Amino acid sequence: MRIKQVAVKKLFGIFDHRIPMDKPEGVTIIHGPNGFGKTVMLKMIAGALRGDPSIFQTIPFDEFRLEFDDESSWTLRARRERSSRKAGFGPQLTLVTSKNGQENTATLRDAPDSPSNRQILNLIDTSVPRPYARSGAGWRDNAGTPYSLDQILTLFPDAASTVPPEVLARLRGGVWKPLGIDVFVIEANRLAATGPGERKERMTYYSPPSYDDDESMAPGQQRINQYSADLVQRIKTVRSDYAKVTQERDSTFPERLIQFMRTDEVPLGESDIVIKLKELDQKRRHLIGLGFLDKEGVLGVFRDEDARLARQALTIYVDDVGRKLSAFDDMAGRSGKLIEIIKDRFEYKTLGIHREQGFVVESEAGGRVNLADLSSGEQHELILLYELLFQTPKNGLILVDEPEISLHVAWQSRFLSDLIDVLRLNGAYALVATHSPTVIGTQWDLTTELRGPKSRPDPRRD
Amino acid sequence: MPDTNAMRRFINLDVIVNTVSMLASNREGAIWISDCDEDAKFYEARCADKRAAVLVAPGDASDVLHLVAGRGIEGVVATVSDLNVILSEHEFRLSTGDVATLLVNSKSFSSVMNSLAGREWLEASERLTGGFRSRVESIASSLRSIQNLLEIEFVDRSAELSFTEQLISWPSFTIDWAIARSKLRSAGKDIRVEQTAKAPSKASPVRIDPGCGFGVLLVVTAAMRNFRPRGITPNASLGPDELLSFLRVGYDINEFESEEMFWRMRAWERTWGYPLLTEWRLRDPLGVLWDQRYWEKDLRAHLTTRSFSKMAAMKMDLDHFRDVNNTLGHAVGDEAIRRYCAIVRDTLRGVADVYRRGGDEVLALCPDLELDEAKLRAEELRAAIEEQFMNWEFADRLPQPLTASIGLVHWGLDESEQNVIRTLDQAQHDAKEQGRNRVVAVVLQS
Repeated sequence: MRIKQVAVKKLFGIFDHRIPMDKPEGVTIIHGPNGFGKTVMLKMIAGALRGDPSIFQTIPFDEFRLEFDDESSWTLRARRERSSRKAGFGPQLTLVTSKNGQENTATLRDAPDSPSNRQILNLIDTSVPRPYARSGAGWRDNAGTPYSLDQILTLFPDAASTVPPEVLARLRGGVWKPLGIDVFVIEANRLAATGPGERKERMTYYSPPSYDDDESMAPGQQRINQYSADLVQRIKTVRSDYAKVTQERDSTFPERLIQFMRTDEVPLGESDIVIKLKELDQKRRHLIGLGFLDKEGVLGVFRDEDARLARQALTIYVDDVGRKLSAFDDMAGRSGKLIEIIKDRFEYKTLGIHREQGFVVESEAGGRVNLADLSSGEQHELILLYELLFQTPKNGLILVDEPEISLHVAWQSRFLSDLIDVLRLNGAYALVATHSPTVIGTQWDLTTELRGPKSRPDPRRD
Repeated sequence: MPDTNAMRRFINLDVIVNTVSMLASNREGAIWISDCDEDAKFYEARCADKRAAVLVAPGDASDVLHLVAGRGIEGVVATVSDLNVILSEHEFRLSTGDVATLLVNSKSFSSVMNSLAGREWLEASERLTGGFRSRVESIASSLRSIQNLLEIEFVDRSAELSFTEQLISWPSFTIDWAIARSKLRSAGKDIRVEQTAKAPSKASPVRIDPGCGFGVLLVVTAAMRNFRPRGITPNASLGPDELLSFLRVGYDINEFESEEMFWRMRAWERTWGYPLLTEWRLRDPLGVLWDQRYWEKDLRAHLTTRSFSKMAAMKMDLDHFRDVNNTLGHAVGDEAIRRYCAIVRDTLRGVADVYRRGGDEVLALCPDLELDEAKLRAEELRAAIEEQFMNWEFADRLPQPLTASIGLVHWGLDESEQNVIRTLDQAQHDAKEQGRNRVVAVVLQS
């Protein structure tokens, strides 16, 4: 299921936006002046898909609607309370879902203000720092601004762990389930590390993220180091997959060989075997080059006569090695692409990958370059590409906010073609918000303008 | 500037067209694309409305305009200096080709030179050359011919300036023909170059060929650095770009109204409704309409430039206006005139420039307006005045309602100023005679 169109009515009380996402390239670009809601539109889409209502509680709007390619739709309506005591706690949200012509309406409740629920809120409050203090059905800061439970949990996700998940879920009763579309956000500010508790992937209220000890980062650490560690982890994972396949294949080899000979199956011809072995050897060298595999004993010159000696065994062997090495295919494709693009972008520096050290950058003059010492433009480019290549979900939606930030114009002008390449690799689609005419380049056809009441008549609509 | 050249690789036509499209989306004013950096500086600083944006697309202004139009985006204009381009509705060109030439030809040129070079140096130069300005022009024109024969493209300003300095013999401030010929010979162009000096004449107005203003600036600034008539040094020594910026600041913007481009731009604004040009004109003392001084000036400009093949003019005043002043006092009288002027301005918006000639006499000039449309607008105006003064808070206290008598004249090409004014007076007089609160239209056929 894919999003076909996004629409909002009276965003900030002013703007009506409609963004069709039907471009064959899989990329839709939105542009418009500051303050017209480009970033908010991305956040609302992410919030809707992930089941996170906080953006809808803070930003005024009348209606937010997602239409999908299976003709179903998801519409959130907001009605502001005028005179009630709850007025400060955000709008009354109504969710209308429509599928196969069937409409379903549900009113989403705020945290109910009952005595037993207050006890739960007070419990959560033990993990909420000053100046936020408990008040009625939510919190207030020292300026008197009200905050709902959802807003507080967005600010302090750790506070959710003070109460059992099922209790929390009951309290938050009204919140919808994630819509089953993976979404990944590439933010404008990319350099700072995402600390524990604000990881943006798969962050839902139902499954608070857990972290391995070795994954958690000291505050202030840069995201580039985080990703370098992430890469090490990914390599570790594929290597263990490889090891698993290897063990499984190796332990069953004699059995399968005998079975093969008993059933008189037709083995490969000698020259096919030689060709396949050469191909596999090449692949192995490539993986050694990427640092995924250790240097192993390399096969010497292998002739047709050699292959004839053990055709049956070699037929099975060739198949086994192919299966084993294919554990790396996906990682090798992405890593290769990363190195290839970076090679084209960085001057006087080369990027390599090491399975224990992650990114290895070397200066052309010789010597290792500390990742933190890369220029901010280089860090931005590397982080952007890494997120695109490694962290974006297959067949999911990628939301990119202002990719031009800190990117050299030359890199800006290539961002879209990189993105389209990655989307092809991933089967994903993307919505990009930009101010940069250079990012758009030759792809004006992909753009949709966010317009205001005073904007000029739109030549492509009406 | 090498930096800019490096950037140009990425800022290609697509990017400029995107920039214009994105700028246009939320801008009330026009987008004005200039094909030259220096021209854009002048347009931005002196001519463009605050709500408009001026952008530079070196050499590509027309292409950008066409591509933007292809995306269906309106409210974009281009100014081009190439004299060979055939202009579309959205393209404009100075009669002087570029801004440098406009400024060199401007009335303020000599006062700027006076304050930069100093009277003493200018007078000595004048005496030694027997006409400094015409000497400068003749040198600039010869240099241009030599440069064309040599087929030189200068990489930057300093190369152009040093070429200029080399080819001038400074003691006498003339072209050094010996050097010029040797340069031509070594380039294999053994052609005799005729010295194309114009006869110095102080009487005839100075006017150089379109697009050649920058050449003049080069020679003038080179002279300020090298020419020492009677050993006198000028007060300042500066480059052509600096001189250009002084001229930009010193230019009297009212002079811009003698350019046909100004009138075409005003007409474009009326048709498309995107603010393009800034207002430098004075308004009448009540601050609603143009001051009366522009009426005859504009009428004359339209009749002489003949930018439009048809034209209408209106002249009107309020009937029994004296009653207002007499019974309600002059403060209410001013209030009535302010109200009346605003009605005229709003009703004729988009088709006319409106001027107040003092008291309640108002004139309107409508370039390019068809006769039928002009009659319709005049009648609309009469009705609007009648209706709005019927609802005026002081209406009950007047012996009779306030209305207007309007004279309308419509003409084609070739009409004399005198004839237009006389007919207009007569038409308005007839409207009064025939019982007031009416329009009398006269068509002039020459």
